[in-house]
Amino acid sequence: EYEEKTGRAQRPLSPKQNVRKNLDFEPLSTTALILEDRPANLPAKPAEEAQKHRQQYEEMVVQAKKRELKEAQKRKKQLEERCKLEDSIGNAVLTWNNEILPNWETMCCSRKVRELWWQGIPPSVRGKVWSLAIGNELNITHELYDICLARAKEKWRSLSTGGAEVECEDAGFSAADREASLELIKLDISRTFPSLCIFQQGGPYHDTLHSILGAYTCYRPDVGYVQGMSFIAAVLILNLDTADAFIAFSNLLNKPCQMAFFRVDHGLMLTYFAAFEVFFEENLPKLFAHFKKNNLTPDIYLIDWIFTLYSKSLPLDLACRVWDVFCRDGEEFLFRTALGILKLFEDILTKMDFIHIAQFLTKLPEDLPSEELFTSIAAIQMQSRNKKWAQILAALQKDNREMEKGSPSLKR
Amino acid sequence: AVTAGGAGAAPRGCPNAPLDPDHLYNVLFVGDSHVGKTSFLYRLHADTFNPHLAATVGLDYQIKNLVVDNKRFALRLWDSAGQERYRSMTKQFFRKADGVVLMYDITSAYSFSDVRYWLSCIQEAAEDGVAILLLGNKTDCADERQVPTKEGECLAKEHQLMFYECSAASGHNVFESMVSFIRLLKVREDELKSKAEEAPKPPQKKKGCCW
Repeated sequence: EYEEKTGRAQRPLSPKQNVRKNLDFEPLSTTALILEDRPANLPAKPAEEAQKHRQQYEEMVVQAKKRELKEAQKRKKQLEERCKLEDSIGNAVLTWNNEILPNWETMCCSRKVRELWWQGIPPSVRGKVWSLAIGNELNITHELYDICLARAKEKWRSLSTGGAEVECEDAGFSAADREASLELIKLDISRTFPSLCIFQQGGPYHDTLHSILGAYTCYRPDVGYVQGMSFIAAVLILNLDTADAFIAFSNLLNKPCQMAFFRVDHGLMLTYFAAFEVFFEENLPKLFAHFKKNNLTPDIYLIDWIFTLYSKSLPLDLACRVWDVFCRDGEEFLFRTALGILKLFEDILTKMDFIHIAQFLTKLPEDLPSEELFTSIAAIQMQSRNKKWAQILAALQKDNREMEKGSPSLKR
Repeated sequence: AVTAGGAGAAPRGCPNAPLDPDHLYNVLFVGDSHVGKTSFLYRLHADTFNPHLAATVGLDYQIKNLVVDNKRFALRLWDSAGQERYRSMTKQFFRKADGVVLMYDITSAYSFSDVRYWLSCIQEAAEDGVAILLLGNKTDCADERQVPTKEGECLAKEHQLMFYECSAASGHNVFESMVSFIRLLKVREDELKSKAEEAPKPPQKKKGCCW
């Protein structure tokens, strides 16, 4: 297997070697430095001075050559690194396609696969891996998507013609609220990743995003459209075909954490925040105390991060890497990522007051380095006194239920 | 030991920037989705219009320092998501607000009719006597206007709100409305202060009668 890999790595070397040869040439651009004698109409330099100047000139040339060489080496190294990265992505694609994906059930949990997964899934197989990892507990078929979409289109038509009320089979929300929801989808689509310019009116993915969100409100009228969903659907659209994106979207939103947030189940959201704080205090006690002192509660930054699964607050490629591991590890990775971000910026954050922390965390630096973030996330321990995330969360949920039973008025 | 690799990524001069403001106010922005809350704040912050702003999810935060009448004011601006569903999350922040900016879109009668609903939310959740600024945004889209200026004025009068029409796109009345609002906030603060000074007097009187 090893040989196979190295063998593959060597084949694409030929074009690369060409480039490298070009970089090995002697630095020649010192031509800008030419030692000229004095113009003939001026008295000649004394021999001693001429000698000195020549020496100075030679030193300058040596320095310039050194600099050039250094730069050439730097360029060469960068190129090599890029080639190495491309090679490793190329290799990873082959490993995912030929080894892992065909044997998904048996391999997905192996250590080797988990490690490769952590490195980031190559974009070309990302959608497939996400689909498999998210699963399809809801058994949604392409046909069901078509049915939901047809219904959504019917609603849009009746809405735009002001026609008769579509039958109200869905309880819970008023017709006006649902209407507003459909209207809101339209407004939000062009406000989803506006800088990418692909979801706006007339953009290539405008209708796809509209369709998926509309179909979802017909599939789950009890949940409807909630701001933040458009970002999740958009990320899926960028990696999957429309119907598959819908299937992944519906199943993803059906996960307990996402359901709690998108239905705005306050009690459950507070439980998630409380569980997060247990690990926050355990991992970053100093920063935790600073946040407490400044009354900075987790909802202030977590709401945006969890609702959009980081797709709005992190650079998109980095957000996708977070999604990769989220698909592998589940909801706890979302909270681990939050702690990784806090850890990465701990020094800066401890010097800020409430509003500056809030401002900083809701607008993270655009050049956030992915390797550093993932190193920081890796250093976060998701075990508190031998208890794992799920156990802490379950215990808090139990406490909550008992408290609510005991004294209904004692809610926060 | 942790080294934050992104030290250079911190907002420049941010932690110490506000040179001890004389007054600090928390201002919450509310109103229907897509009326222009985030764009207004962007205009206030960068003095340009950014047509490519993403929809707000939950809350956004911004700080703005302004000098008005030779006094330094720091505004902590809380930008909330407009969707109904998020309202229950925004509620807790009403209580902390010194002022609320309630925005509607003059090209959307719907957003204007929701103003009454927002007012009831403010009354329910905010402190009594919270300063409220009613803003009709998007005056640059005069052709699409659905809400006459008169109607905004009437509503403001009825509920004793400060009222402006503005445009985050053109910049019309953006700074003017905020400066007026700051003056109102200052008046409210002074009123509260003088009330607070009056309040602890009774025990002092008691002391007085002991001699």
